[in-house]
Amino acid sequence: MTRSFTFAALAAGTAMVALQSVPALAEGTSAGTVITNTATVDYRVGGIDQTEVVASDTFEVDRKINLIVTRISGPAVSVSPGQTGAVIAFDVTNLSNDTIDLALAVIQSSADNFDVDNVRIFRDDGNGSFDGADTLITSLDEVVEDASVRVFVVSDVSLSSTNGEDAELVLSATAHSGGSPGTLGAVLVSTPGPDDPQGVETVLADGAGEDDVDFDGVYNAPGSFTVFAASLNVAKTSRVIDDPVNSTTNPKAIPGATVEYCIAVSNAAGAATASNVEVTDVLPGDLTFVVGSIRINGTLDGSGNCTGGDPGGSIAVRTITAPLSDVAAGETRTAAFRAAIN
Amino acid sequence: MNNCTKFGLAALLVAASAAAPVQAETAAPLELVGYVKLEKVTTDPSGERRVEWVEPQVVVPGDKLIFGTQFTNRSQAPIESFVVSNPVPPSVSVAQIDPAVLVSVDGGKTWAKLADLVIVEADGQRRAALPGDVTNIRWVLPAIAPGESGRLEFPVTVR
Repeated sequence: MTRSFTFAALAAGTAMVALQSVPALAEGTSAGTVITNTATVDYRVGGIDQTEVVASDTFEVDRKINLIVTRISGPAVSVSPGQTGAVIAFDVTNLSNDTIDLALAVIQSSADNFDVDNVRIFRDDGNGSFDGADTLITSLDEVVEDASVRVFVVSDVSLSSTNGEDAELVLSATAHSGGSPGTLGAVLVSTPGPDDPQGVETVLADGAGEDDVDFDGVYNAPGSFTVFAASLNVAKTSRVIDDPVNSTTNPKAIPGATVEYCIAVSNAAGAATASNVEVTDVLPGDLTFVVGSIRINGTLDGSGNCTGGDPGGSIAVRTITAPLSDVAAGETRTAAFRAAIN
Repeated sequence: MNNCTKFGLAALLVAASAAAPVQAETAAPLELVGYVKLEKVTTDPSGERRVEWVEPQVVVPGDKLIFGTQFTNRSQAPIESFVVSNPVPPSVSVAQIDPAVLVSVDGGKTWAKLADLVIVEADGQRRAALPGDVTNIRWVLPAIAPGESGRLEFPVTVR
């Protein structure tokens, strides 16, 4: 006769599954842990205590590999053309139940506007921000269970990039065996074939990141740089404002007439503020500079002529130099000067 | 699916074929075998979800297991006061518990039915004990007739 003494309602599958759901983080029991279930039985025969009997069954917990890469920086890190050391921060977390190494690589997209240059990966020194104390790496060594490591993808932005362009990339982490400290272990793959109950097998259990699939031992996280640049447009116009015959009424460009040159610097809407803007202009021959006529930081009137502005700038030999204040997005500043026709 | 998955109190006295051959009286009167089975969920082509309990192959955290002990009375005499003590390994969490069985949540110092046990949290809060709190399980069977066999099982999750 066989009797089954079991707990009620195992067959109530869904309820039990809910009870058994395990947290996503903390893969818990370390690989290689030996779990032994031991039952000890005391009993009597004919009223006499018998020697207790022990039964047990043992298995070893296998290696469950799970990792995740999380971008800490915003989805589009703002950079300037020519910027060096632009940074995207990521956290690489080992959710496995074993210590692993992680190989890191940056893959640049081919479907974006440009690629960044001089791409490097640094391991944070512990303060969470990129600074001179961080270490240049290509992999993370001996990352223990549940440990998270901050890394920085650092790169340079081409001077030829323009406002609004983006450079997309992924930081890719691949699980490797922990191996010996200081050495990148072998790439981890799921152990094929049947299990050795007393051995430690590997099971890849990672999720799908950007352009990688479930259970491949790889996790990719995307990041991007977006260029935020000034977008300047310069227009130069001239008009005759006075001549010796007509004075200021319909003056003509005759010898002795005064000409006003107007140089307008405009920054496009949505662009970065342009600073240290300096207008230079070489005065043509046959013109004589009108001393003290340079006006800077003026605006354009409705007819497109320079108006307002303050005295400033300088002239050296025949080159006029007019420094302007910062030109914000959507703003126009002008530099104007006058010259007489010889 | 083997009969250890037929759960419920109704299964307590399932009559079965004489799976246990009668042995010589010199053999140990009580035969005891411990085992672990792993839940394997498959989806058949029709989309039906099937749960099987198989010999554990690869076991990783989060897996669901059945811990069990099979006993057989090989002697010609009835066994009395049959008490099975089963500590729960710390690396697993009990998923479900028979409300009638005696359990301990303090390593075997005190025993009661799960519903009668409370857990005092580190902050002094008291709450009802849950299956995952169980540290030891004890079954008490008054008697096992000659030739009779049975299984004692409980489901766990690998932490």
